Amino acid sequence: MLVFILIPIVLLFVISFLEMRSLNFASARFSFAAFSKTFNSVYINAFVKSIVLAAIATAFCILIGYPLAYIVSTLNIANRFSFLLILIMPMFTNMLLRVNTINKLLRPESFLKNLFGISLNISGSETAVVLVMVLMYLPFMVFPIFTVLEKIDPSLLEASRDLGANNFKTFLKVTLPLSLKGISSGIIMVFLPCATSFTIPYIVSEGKMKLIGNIIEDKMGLGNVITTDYPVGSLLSIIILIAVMGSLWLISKIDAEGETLL
Amino acid sequence: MKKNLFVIGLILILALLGGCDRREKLYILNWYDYVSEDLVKEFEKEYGVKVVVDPVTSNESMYNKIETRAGKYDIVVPSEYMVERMYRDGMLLELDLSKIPNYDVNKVDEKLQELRDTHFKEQQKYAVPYFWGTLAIMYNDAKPGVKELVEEHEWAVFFDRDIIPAGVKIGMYDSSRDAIATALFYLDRSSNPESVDDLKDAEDLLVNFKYDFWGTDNIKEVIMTGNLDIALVYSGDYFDTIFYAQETGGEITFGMHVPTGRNNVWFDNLAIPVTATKVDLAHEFINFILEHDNAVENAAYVGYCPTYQDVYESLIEDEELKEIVLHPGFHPGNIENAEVYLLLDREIAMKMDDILTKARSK
Amino acid sequence: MNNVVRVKAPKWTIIKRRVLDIGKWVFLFAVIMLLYFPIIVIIIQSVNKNVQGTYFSGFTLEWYKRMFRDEDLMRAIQNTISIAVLATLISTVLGTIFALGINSLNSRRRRQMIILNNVPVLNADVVTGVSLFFIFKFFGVFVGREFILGYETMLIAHVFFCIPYVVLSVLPKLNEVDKNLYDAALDLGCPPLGALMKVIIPSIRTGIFTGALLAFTMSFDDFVISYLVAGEEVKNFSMWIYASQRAAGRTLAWPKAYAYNAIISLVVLLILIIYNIVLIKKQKRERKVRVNLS
Repeated sequence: MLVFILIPIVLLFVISFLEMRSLNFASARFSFAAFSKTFNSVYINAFVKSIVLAAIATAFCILIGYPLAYIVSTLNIANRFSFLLILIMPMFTNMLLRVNTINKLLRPESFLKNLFGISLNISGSETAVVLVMVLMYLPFMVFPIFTVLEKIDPSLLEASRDLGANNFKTFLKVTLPLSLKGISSGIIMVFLPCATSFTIPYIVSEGKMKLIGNIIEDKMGLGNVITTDYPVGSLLSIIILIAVMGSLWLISKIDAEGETLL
Repeated sequence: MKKNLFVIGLILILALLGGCDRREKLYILNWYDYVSEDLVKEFEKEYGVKVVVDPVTSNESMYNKIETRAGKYDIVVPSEYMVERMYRDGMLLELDLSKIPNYDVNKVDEKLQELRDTHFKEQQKYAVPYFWGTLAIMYNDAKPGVKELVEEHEWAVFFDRDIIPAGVKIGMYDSSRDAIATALFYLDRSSNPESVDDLKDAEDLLVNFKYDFWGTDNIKEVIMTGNLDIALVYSGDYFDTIFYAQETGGEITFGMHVPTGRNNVWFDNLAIPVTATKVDLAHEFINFILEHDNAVENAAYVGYCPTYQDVYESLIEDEELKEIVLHPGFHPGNIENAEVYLLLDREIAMKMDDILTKARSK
Repeated sequence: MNNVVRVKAPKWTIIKRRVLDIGKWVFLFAVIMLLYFPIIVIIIQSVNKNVQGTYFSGFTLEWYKRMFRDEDLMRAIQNTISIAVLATLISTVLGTIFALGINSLNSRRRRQMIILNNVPVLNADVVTGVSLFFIFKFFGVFVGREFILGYETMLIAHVFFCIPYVVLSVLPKLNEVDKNLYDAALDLGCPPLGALMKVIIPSIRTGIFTGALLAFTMSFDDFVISYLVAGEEVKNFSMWIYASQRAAGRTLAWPKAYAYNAIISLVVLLILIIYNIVLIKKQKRERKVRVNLS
């Protein structure tokens, strides 16, 4: 296991310091070229945009996901697990297919228009990208919050009410702080995939948007590009990796067991 | 517990059962919808083999896959400039033309052979022509005024906002060479820039014009459904979409215009990469595809212009296809100022990619 | 009980409570609709005669027929299912073992291992995929087999990114297990392995099941990693769809894909309904027993 995780990191790290033609290691020379190429306005723009859009999507996921998790946790016991299954079921349909289907509906000439007369014209916009991100990743926010809410001892809530707090105050001072762990896990589970996503930005923005995930994809030879640049791609990947490790370290400070990561 | 094991075992068996195919396999790295499936099946039956087609959307993907040895492909279908690059980088095997008797260099279209002799003399031993075409402008004919707009302004529709009325959506092809070539044609310059500075004006044009769509093979369907009005495509895309509309009962509400002043002419080739493990079989397949009747059937499916004179003539004689084949945009020979892409320096190529990235990450 | 003072709540509180109650269900329903409408559209489109899907031109089962006849698609589906099943089985076993291992470590090592475990989960797909590609390629060079990518590498890659999910599901459950149970079993004469199988495993059963479910879902839907490590021949359904998404559609990929996914959705829905029916029946039985006992 360790081998699988550590070796690629070392590899990516090494490649960032090289300058070579495609994956031809024979032509590789030591160089800082990747660094100067990476820190230019185009990539930084993409980085910022990725983070901003992902943040907005995450915020909406919390806004919708928290109430949802809360409501479900107050339902009677039997239905709860099957409710989670209901949430996870859409994930069995292929994500690419779902994204494409939604995207087609967002165009002016669409199924919705010809059947219901609703012509949405938001395909290609940033709004659409955020919308689809939320639709795809909402369950990932709901699960950890739900797990944490379930574990809250109901007697704590009773005690709070006995001490005179009304429902709202109880929620604010007891439930919310205790569920913070869940929210933080949810944020990580939603924010990172959204920020590094490349299928959703590419499809939903009608090819107009390039986020950091798209750029890495391009550099590694996956997109519609003529040239590959593995050093720059590796460097960008390392930066993302550092960001991921950083957030994991942060979580471990709040929630040592990672038990709410589900 | 026992019951669970049994179920698991059953699933495992069912899962593994489907995998056995003892036939010899031929791997082809090709473009989408670029060879008739019926023909492939015929070849499989005749030679008792299985043909596995792995489609990609760009020459560069083809190059990447061969270079990184991602798979043991036996046949690859690169465009002319990519043949040059692969040849230079030692990624192609020399063809044994004696094993491809159906290939006759005298039957190759005159104008094309001229281009081959001028720019690609040595590569002719490594690749045989397959289909050829040009860049074209596809438009949504259902929207009034669009057709006239395209026919009058040609390349300008992609770069001059002033001539575009409100509500008309413009799409650009997501391929740096083609997008930039179009910009250079608009500026009346060569599509083979000599230095990075030559790209500055093209960069400004592409970065500042806000396109409504960037795509590749998916562009045609979006125009067909009326969600896009004008887009840069390859000439054959139009005919391919006509066949698609006919097959699925869709309406033909789109048209194509090929600027004949300054345009790019490209031709795709069949070649055998160094990753090939079934070299003889690969030769057989190329020979099979080039056989006259097969080539006609293939051309009728694919919708691009065949590179062999006799095949083209057979198409004109066909009653059903005649109308389509005689469309002025079908045969690349009609272009006055035809430019072929030549291999560019890596620095220029990287700049081209950067321009496209910049145009979409503002 | 006698000390409770019953105060009649003011009218607006009652109304507020009613509104909140109804609002709860409306909200729930709305969110579920939001998540499910793509699925509904997919099912509708799978029987839509119109290929482009912009209007409904008639009901047809043609796409289901064509789906089964498309060899390429069927093979892709087969690969997807077989890899998902195998990867789930292998990763569940390995993941549980890892979880047990991590559980026995001291607190600091444990935190380190958990961080390492979570890296594949949170890393960008592309990065994980490219890393695995590099590893396989280098291994191939080392072993002398240049074209190493294929079914096996895809399976290994899937097992690799599924294991962390299993660990994440099992570990919390392991925490809840009373440490004394294991010792008690040993004291009663059970061999260590038996104690494991008969005491620990059953009590973390739900964790293992959740982990397996998660692993299956992740593997089933994977695209990027599969694309990067598949090689020239193997395709899974996601790769097939990605490939077709970029094509004009002469292969009529979209309707067939809709048909396939419609089938999957209906199958999963069926399983859900059956599960719920079984659950409700079980509850009724338990209630009867309780009534009989009281």
